[in-house]
Amino acid sequence: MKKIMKNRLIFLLVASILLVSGCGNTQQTGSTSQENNATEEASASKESSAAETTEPVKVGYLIYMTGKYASIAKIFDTSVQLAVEDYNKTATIPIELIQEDAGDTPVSARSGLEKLLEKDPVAIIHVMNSVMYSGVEPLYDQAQKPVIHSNVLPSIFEGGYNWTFGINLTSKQGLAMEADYWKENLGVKKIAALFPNDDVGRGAEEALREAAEIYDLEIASTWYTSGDNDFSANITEARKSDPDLYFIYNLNATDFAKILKQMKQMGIEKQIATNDYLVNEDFLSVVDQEDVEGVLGYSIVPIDFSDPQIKEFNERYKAILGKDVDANALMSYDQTMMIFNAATKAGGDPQKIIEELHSDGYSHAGLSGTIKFDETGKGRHQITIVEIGPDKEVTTIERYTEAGY
Amino acid sequence: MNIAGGVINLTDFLQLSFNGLAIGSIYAIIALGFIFSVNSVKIVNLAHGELLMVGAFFAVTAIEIFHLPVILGYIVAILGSALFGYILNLTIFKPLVGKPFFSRLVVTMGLSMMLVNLAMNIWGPYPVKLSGPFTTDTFRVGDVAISNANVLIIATLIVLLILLMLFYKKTLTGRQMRAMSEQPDAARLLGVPVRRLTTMTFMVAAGLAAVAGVLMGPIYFVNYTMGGVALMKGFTAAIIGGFGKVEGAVIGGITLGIAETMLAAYVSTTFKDGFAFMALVLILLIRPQGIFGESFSERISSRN
Repeated sequence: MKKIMKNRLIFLLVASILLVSGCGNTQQTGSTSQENNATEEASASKESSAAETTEPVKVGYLIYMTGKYASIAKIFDTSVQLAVEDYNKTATIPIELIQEDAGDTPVSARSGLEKLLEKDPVAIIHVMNSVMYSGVEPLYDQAQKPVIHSNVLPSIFEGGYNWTFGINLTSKQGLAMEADYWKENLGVKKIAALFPNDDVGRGAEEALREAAEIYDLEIASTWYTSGDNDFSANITEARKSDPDLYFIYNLNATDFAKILKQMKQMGIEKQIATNDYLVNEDFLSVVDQEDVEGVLGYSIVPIDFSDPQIKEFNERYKAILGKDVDANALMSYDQTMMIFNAATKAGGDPQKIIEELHSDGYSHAGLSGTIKFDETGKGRHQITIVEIGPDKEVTTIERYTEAGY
Repeated sequence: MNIAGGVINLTDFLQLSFNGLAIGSIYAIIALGFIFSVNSVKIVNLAHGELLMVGAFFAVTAIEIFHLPVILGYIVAILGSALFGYILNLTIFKPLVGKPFFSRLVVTMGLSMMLVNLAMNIWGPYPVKLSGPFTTDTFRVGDVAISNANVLIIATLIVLLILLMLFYKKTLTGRQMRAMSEQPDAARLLGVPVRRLTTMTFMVAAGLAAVAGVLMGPIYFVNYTMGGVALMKGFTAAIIGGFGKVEGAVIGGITLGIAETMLAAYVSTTFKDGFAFMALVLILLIRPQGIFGESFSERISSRN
């Protein structure tokens, strides 16, 4: 009797053990079967975690936390930190984010990158001004690690590099799409363009000229000095060409507001357009409504606060930073999530991460829209043409896609 | 219609002339305040541009924050600046009387930097809007667009000139101020209350700086850096016209404004500020007393 009881107890014990371990295996198998879809990035980390390693994957983060751009850095950094928080809620492979400061010059950026590379990250989240890129480009090429950024300089994508991934639109792309829109929808043939007399302005002028050549538009350029007060001479020069449209390229709220006001004062009534700076809180807060009404521009990332995901993210973002999200905030979140998912899916191998991001099936549907990288690493191929209406509200005119996409 | 052999379009020329006249009027008002300031404290007041900036920010505070009606806000800003000028004179410039010229000059530099930093901390580093009494409406004379804002600027200069002329010629205080600025020792001996008039002159200087500030604000926006360029343009205008003379300040300012605008349009838009300083150098080389008056160095040395 005692022996029978003992055997029964042993049987029950073994059966219990088998039952418990069987449930665990089922969960793991279920996870593995979900992750075969290349576009289901959120589950990729679980596959890697089960199949490969539990060591944290080191992702580098180079951002200009000090210097003259420090006040802008918070916009990006808040989103990156929220992405880290969201990623860690569901991931089984931890990400170790290694941060270094890029300062505010190409030299300080290079120094920050050198320190970062010593810690051997598998990929890098790059957040800094486009003009600082020249300091880090050679080092990135030497390191051959995937770099994801939101810079807009066209030259970044013209080096034939496979490691650069941009989730923003370059100025060349944006201006080309705008020029196409003006010609097709407004019948524009001749443009008078005002550019700031600096490197960025000259780059933009070159980009618009290229677009004008493609779309057979005539363009007369004039140069203004950023920070100037009186633009009447510039406006007079622009007016001489009798254009169908005036284009003002700018990245400065007060320059743009002053030029618009003085154009109005000088009786300019033709269509005025600008680049993506139109939808900018600083600019819209200083410009007078009667000066900006009817001005066209474009938006790279249209922000719909009625979208539940954006609404929820905005609430968390605003609780930290005290202001609503903008395009940069949404893009920073997406670039972080994209690199985290790709890094863990590829098992922390930089070359595999690069292959993953370049793969045909890869795309990411994020807060800032859909991102799909072409062979040069450019991930965004659409703009939204917008117009300022009464009460300075931004009205969407049309969603415009880059030719060939 | 083209003139000068087709090189110059008449409409553009007239448009540029009018715009140059408007901006020249602002330079003239700055120069007027600058001359008053020099007459009062007997040195080049390097903080005069910052008095313009402070006056503009007073207007921003009155109109954009406390929502006073625009004209009332402007008056409050100008009077507030005059009061601010009184306080500065009492606390900083009066104690400097009799001190070496260089010491007084350095103090004005320090005051300028202090005001810039104070403004940045109080009102922030970003440019702010200042409402004007008009919308950006224009009317046309032929093909030339005339904006209400520019008409206001030119009209303000004319009114100021008339008031100053009446003040100097018809009032005892005005005549005493003229005597004091031209012959301070003789004026003192004759019982002219030099100290009181010095204070009043400085208050007028600060008030005039604020007038320029509130005229500039609606068109060029208000920010903590606006004083620097204003000072240089006002100083240049005062030198061109002849230092110490009211008419010199006006002619100098208008000449500078029109020349700048024309040269930018017909020579190079990117070298506009360079023309102003080239003009300053040429005037100092060729006619250092300016168009109307005594030279700047003679003016200052005669007061020291």
